[in-house]
Amino acid sequence: MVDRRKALKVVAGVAGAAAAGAVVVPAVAVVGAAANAPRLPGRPPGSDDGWRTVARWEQLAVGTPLQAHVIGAEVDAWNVSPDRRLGTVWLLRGGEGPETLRALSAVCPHLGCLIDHTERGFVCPCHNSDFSARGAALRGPSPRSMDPIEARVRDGRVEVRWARFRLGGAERIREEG
Amino acid sequence: MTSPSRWRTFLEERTGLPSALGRAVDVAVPGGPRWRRVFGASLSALLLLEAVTGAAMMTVYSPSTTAAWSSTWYLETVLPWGRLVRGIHHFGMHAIVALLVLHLVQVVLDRASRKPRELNHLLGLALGGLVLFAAMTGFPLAWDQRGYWVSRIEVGIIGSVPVLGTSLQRLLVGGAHFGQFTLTRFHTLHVWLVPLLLLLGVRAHIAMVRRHGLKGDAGRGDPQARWWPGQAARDAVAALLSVAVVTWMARRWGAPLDAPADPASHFPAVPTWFFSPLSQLLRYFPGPRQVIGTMIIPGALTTFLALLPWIDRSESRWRRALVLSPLLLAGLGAVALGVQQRRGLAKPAFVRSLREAQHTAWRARRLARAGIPPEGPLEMVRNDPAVRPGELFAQHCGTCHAVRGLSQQRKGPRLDGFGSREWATAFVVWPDHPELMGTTEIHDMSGQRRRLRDEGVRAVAEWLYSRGYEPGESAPDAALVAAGETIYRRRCTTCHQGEGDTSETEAADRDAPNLDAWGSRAYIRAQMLNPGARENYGERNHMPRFHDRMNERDLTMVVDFMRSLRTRPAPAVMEQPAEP
Repeated sequence: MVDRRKALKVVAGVAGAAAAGAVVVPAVAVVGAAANAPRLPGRPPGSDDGWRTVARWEQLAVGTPLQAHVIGAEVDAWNVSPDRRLGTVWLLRGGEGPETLRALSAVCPHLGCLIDHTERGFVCPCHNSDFSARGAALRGPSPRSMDPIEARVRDGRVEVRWARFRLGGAERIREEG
Repeated sequence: MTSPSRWRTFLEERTGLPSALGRAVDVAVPGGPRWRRVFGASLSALLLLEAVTGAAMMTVYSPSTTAAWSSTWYLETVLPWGRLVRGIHHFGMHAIVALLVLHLVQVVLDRASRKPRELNHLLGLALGGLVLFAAMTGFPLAWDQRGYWVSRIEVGIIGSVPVLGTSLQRLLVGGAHFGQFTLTRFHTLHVWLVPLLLLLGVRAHIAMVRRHGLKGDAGRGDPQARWWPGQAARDAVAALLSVAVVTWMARRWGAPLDAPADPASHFPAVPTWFFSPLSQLLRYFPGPRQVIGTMIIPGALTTFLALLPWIDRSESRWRRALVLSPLLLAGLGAVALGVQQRRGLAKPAFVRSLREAQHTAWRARRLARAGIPPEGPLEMVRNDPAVRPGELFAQHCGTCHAVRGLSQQRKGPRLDGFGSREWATAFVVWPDHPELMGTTEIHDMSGQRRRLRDEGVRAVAEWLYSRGYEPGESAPDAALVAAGETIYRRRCTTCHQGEGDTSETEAADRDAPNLDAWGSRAYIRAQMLNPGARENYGERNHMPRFHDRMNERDLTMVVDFMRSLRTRPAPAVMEQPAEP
């Protein structure tokens, strides 16, 4: 009788746990799956090279950074919205040739505020991080220099490849998706 | 290392939890463990399953008319495990309704509603109604065609309730319009109010069951028997079996997702199986008698069930059979109505519209793969590049022009193959052919074959084809094009406008269309926007202008569609018959 009781306890425990697991595992898995930002099947990686025109080369003057908005299709879960503002960059021209072009993300690596340009250089207005004219972190809480964005000049058009980086750390890690 | 009993004491002293748990499982099951008692456990397990899968889906679902279908599609298609979770939620509800029906049958046969269980019987009926309401409010949440239309019909039935109907309907729908507020209200009811009421109701139901014990066990087995572990093991096995069946169905079939809800469409709406007897009943009571099918018959049945503890009091088998016969009749009637409804689904007209609906659903899921525009999935389907251009063409152009498969009208030239060498050849050979300008009011060009000879016709057609050539198409023959251009600039430009005329005709006398960009997107566009312009047909034109009739997107689609016609076979015109 004791053995039968024990067996019943095991059956109750195993069957109960199996029933609960069969429901909880898929439910937790689906919540976790959304956190990994799966791509839409009709937009596989590489279906868009990512280059976006943000300005014309002749708009840039040596020594004066130009703020430009990156416009493109915003992909957010199932939504694809054309012509949205994806982000903001600062464009720097170092000299005559297009090879002197540099682009910096206007997103502060500290907590993501938009970096401004004033007479003392690049400044994040939220927590007073100061950056040099080339984007190096000088003073304030920013853990790293301003994030560089890939940029090139094609037929007089300034093109950039917009990217987001993880906030808060000294290491620069690109955020996917 | 601390022993479990120390932890137990620690928790016991501070929370009392261990002893509370002990009391919770130390329930008397007089008569000992029985398999026939597992209904409650199965139902509870399935209700918990609905809660868990529902909560998981809420992390993805978005209750908006422009996002509900999209988020459901995303859950179903893109997210790993999403299809399974949604399927479990869907079939879990079906299983709950099926088990409730069996439960009700068991209660009736076991006389389990009699004193002192009358109130618990009433509560059970209310909980059953609440479950059906949960199914009803959950059905349209995906905002797909079936959910939308079935829900509209159900809400319409609520509206037919005498006196209160209209107010109840407006309250549920959120105004007069079945739309955004309907969805948010149904969502709130489905994920919050109904589950809360179910939770409280089920708790009270179980508490009363424990108080009264299960019917039919008195005097049998061990009166001191406990729930743990004998009955617990049976309950757990039953719960596992229910979950396994539901999961298997979810994996096998998945929950359906139709095309996005389209209020302007015809959809063959069929209710879920447990609502289909009711929906079939409506067909027998049209017009003002509808209330018989929607209110009186279901109301009478519900009242009968509610009064059962007071009606069914006899122990005599024959008297009971007589008293319960209305229920048997109702059950058989429901089955017959359900079968009748399913039979109706085999009608050819229904099958056809169902197939169309399935095709639209397939297209919608296909289009969504590249992302859904912010205006929502309905706009996405309406602007389906595989369908919309043809629809626009049929609507705007097909009223005069013939195109195989779209229109048989012959008030203007047939447009199959328009822009191709063959179409140009046909036109040069015999402009007044009934498939070309023959049925129009413009007849001032004659056939050119005798004048130009076969080589000349070929050259001019090649030049005309080259005017609208785009990379990727069959490349024009450069020598032929050059020859054709020379002929055209000398011989055709006595009438036709355009650059480089060598015929030395007065510009004012040249009033036939400018063909310098013939067949190109720009040419088609100009002809559509303003066919009466001087460089087109001028004063002789009688084609409507589409300047204010189409927006830019539609116009582009029609132009693209016209371009797609280039590769179709043109009217075969080899020779114009000699003048009589």
